Amino acid sequence: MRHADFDEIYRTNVQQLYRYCLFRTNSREQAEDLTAEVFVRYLQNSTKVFGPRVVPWLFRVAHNLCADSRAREVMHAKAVGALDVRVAEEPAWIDPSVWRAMRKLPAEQQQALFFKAVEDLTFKQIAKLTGRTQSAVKMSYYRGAQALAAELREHR
Amino acid sequence: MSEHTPTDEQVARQAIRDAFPMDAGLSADKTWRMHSELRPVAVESAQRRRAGFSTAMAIAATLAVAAGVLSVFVITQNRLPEPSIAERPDSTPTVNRPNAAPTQSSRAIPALALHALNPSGEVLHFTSVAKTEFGPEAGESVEEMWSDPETGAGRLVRTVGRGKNAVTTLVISDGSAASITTRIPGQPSRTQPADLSGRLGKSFDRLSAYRRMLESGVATVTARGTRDGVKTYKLRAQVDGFADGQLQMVMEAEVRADDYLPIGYRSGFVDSSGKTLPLRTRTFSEFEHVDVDKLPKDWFTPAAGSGEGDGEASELLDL
Repeated sequence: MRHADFDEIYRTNVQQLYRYCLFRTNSREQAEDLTAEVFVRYLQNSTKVFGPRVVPWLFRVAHNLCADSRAREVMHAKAVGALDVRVAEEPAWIDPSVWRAMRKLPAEQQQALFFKAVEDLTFKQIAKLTGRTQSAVKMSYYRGAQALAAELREHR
Repeated sequence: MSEHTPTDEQVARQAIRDAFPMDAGLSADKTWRMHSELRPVAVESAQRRRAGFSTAMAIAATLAVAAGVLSVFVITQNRLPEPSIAERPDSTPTVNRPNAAPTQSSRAIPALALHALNPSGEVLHFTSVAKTEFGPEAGESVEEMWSDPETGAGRLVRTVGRGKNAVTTLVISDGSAASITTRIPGQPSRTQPADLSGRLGKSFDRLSAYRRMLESGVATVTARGTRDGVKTYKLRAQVDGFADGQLQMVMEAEVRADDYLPIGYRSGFVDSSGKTLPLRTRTFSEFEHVDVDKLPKDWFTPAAGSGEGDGEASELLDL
C-alpha cells in the first residue's frame, strides 16, 4: 500500500470514524484511541483489505472495537464500584439521559441511529458503509428509534 | 390524535441531535503549545525494529503514552539524561536490579513514571519501577506500593478518584512479559497475564501503545528548553512502522527535565517527508500543581552511561 493511499483513506474517514467511536463510547479519549487503533489495524492488514472493501472494513473494526471497549468498561466499573471512586472523565454526550438510553440499545441499532441522526446518510449509503442490506439497516434504525423514544418518554 | 405529535423517529432523531456534540471531530489542528524555547539537540541514532527504516527519519524514541489522562513514560538506559536526583534531599539509593542489566539489545526498562492531571485538576498518580519479578503481596496500602521496592519487584500503581484508591499493579518484565493484578481493599486480588490487550480498566487501554513502544525502540531527547521557568525535554518515540518503513506511528511528548513528569503528548502517523496525520493530543497544563512529595523518592534508576551522544538530529514533529 502506498503512503499516498493511506493518506487519502485516513483523511477521508478519520473524522467520521472518530464521531462514531465518540457516539458509542461517550469518551473523547477512548474515541481517539479507538480511532487510532482502527487505522493501525488497517495498516497491519492493508495487503488484505483494499479497494471498495476498505471503508466498510474500517467501520466494522470500529464497531467491534467499540463493543470491546464497552465490555472493558463494565469490568472496570465492577472493579472500582466497591470503592465508590469517581474516575475523572470528560463525557462527550451533552445529555446524560440520552446517552444512558442509547446505551441500552443493541449495537446495530446504535450504529443505524448514528449514521441517520448524526451523519444524515441515506439507508443506501449506510448499507454500503456497514456491509449490511438496506432492509436490515432500516429495521435497525426504526426499531432503535422506537426503543430510544420509549426510553426517553419513560424516564424524562 | 394531535397532528403535531412527533413520531418515535422524530423524537429519537431530535434527542440525539440535541444531546450529541454534532460538531465533534478530531482536532487535527490541535497542538499543545510547545514552548518556543525548545531547541533541537543532537540525538543518538535509534535502534530500529524493522530493517529498511531510513536513518534520517526514525531517530529513536520510545515513548509510551497511556490512557486518557495518564501518560506513560518509559525511560531506557543509555538514552535519556539523568534527572537531578541529588536535588531531592530525600532520595534513596538506586534500587538494586540484579536481573536487569541493560545491554544494547536488552529492552529492560529501568524506570517508568506516569503522572497526569485530569481536566478538573485532580491528580492521578501513576508510578512504577520496572523490574523482572512479580509485584508485592496483596493487601499492601497504596503508600507501601509507592515505596522503594526492596524486593526488586516492579510495580505500576494507579490511584483513581478523589481520596479513594483502586490499586492496580502492572508488572513489567524487560518488555517481554507482564501481568496485571488488581487489588481492591477488602477483596481478593486478581492477576491476569498482561498482553496489554486483556487489560483491566479503560485507563490501561492506551498501554497497547506502550506495548508497541516496548517492541519498537528507545526514547530520545529531541529538544531541550524551559516552560514557565521549568526545564523540559521533548521526547520522541517511534511506536510502530508500516509500509516498509515509509510510514511511522510516532509519539512525542514534553516532560519536565528533573523528573520526567509529562506535560503533554501528541501522536500521529508520520511519513518519510515529515508530513503528519495527527491522531491525538493530550496536554497536562497544570503539571505545576502536582504534589511531588507524594511521588516515591527512588522511582528512577539512573541510566548507566546516560547522556546524549552525537548523532543525527531528529525532525521535530509538527502536528
